[in-house]
Amino acid sequence: MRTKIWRVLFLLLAIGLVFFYWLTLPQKISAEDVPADYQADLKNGERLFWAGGCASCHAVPGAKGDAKLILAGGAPLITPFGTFVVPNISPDTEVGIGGWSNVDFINAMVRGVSPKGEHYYPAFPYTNYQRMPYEDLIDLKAYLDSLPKSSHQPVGHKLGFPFNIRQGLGLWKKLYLDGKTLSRAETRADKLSVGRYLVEGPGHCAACHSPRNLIGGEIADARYSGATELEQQPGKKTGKVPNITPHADGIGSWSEKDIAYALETGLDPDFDSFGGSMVSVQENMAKLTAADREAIAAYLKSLPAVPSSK
Amino acid sequence: MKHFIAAVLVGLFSLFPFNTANAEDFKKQIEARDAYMSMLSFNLGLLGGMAKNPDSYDADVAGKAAANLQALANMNIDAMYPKGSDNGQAGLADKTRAKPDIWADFADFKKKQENLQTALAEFVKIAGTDVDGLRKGMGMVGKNCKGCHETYRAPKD
Ligand code: HEC
Ligand code: HEC
Ligand code: HEC
Repeated sequence: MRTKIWRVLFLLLAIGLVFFYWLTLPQKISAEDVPADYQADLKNGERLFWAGGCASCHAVPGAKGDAKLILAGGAPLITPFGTFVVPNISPDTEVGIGGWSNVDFINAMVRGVSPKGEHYYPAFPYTNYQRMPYEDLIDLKAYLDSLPKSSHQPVGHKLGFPFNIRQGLGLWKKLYLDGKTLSRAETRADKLSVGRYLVEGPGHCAACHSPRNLIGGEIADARYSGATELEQQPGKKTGKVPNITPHADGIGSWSEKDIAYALETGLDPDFDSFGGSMVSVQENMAKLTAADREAIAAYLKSLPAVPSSK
Repeated sequence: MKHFIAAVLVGLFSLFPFNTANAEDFKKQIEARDAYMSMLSFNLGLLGGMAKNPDSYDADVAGKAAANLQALANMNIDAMYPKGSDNGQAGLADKTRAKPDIWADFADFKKKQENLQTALAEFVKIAGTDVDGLRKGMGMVGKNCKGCHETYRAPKD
């Protein structure tokens, strides 16, 4: 009798493990999904590099000016889940991503899966980058390939259990990675669609400005209504990220022109300047065209007005 | 022994009121630096309004505002930033946005102020000349406000 129960339990556990394995299996795209004869557009690649803020995380901490183009990694991101150390994504073939194919790169950006088939942590904001059309990602990869190499090898992440088990991220992705990649037409149709694309996709504004639940997922109906900073340092007060919806708690009093001007110069309508992590974001936005910044402003004004949660 | 006990008591009493008085004392310095910052953004706003709407450009107003900015930036700010007046201190979290990092490297904090002085020394030469000079110069000045706020000021609550 005893052994029978054990057998049943063992069987259930085995089924459970297989089910967990199946449920958390990385979902990749294959080479056929990627337009093979597409000619990369470096200029658009550079635009997406700045819009995507890759340098804000992947450049050496504190880098300014041209040093931002050396994507040697090494910046620590201290979060409640542990410390992530940003990897090298320079075109070095040993420690960077120089040896990657376009398909490898697209899988990282839209599926959050490494060439070895492991899940990435969403500290790498692929839940936003997944919106990017494959053509745009090929442009971005070509631009990254044109940047200087660095052979610097950053140390690994320092995460506690259970966050150190990548396989478990498969479950998280089932909830928060919907796989909806936009077509190029959807990202270019008119001003508002350009703005939506830049904000929701590469700009990953929600990554900082949307409140999150306990497991780090964005709370869908409170998007952009402000949050506490994900990055936190022990012994220091955790910062707040403001509401950027057109609500009175947010930037309801800012005109489109105010928003575009702030993204260009870092100065708000009261002529106070941005501070904290928004400075780096704004300096990236300053590299875009005026038309792109105006599109972002128009899209922010079109968001539903949501009060800040308190 | 008596002396020792007395010394300990005096020590304790002088410590205790000192600690509670701190937050109150810093009230003035914090008010002063907020007022100082408001003066900066007020004058920058006069210029920024013209940069945003070039038709409203007035060389005289622009020149004066730029000179005010320079005078403000050249003030010595040390007394407004006493050690311990940061947002990590009990009781100050919602009163100041100054981060403890300021005092971890006060020399660097001062360097940011000097950078602003250098930028303004250039800015006063061009702000009152024409609106194009003003618009270019705004970026130069704004960069130095951001440069300090990026590292040393916490976001609003
Ligand atoms: C908020 C910080 C952040 C930003 C912004 C960011 N990344 Fe990352 N990125 C990370 C982190 C953290 C990892 C490591 C994830 C992991 O190990 O699971 C990573 C990993 C990667 C990887 C996988 C590298 C490897 O060796 O496996 C690639 C490729 C990458 N990022 C590209 C980009 C590109 C391109 C951009 C800009 C469009 C970008 N990242 C923006 C934080 C960021
Ligand atoms: C050397 C560093 C430094 C520089 C340069 C600097 N600031 Fe500040 N600023 C601060 C700090 C620190 C605070 C937070 C003070 C506090 O809350 O105690 C602050 C706060 C402010 C505030 C908010 C004041 C309030 O009432 O809460 C405004 C507005 C401001 N700064 C504008 C500016 C402008 C405009 C410039 C450029 C012309 C500038 N600052 C340059 C350090 C700086
Ligand atoms: C890395 C985190 C991060 C990202 C990504 C980010 N922001 Fe911010 N943002 C902040 C923080 C922090 C502040 C508060 C800045 C301060 O302290 O002055 C802010 C402030 C702002 C403000 C000013 C709000 C106010 O009330 O003063 C606007 C507007 C804004 N962000 C727009 C955007 C847009 C648009 C994007 C996407 C393109 C974006 N942000 C992406 C962190 C971020």
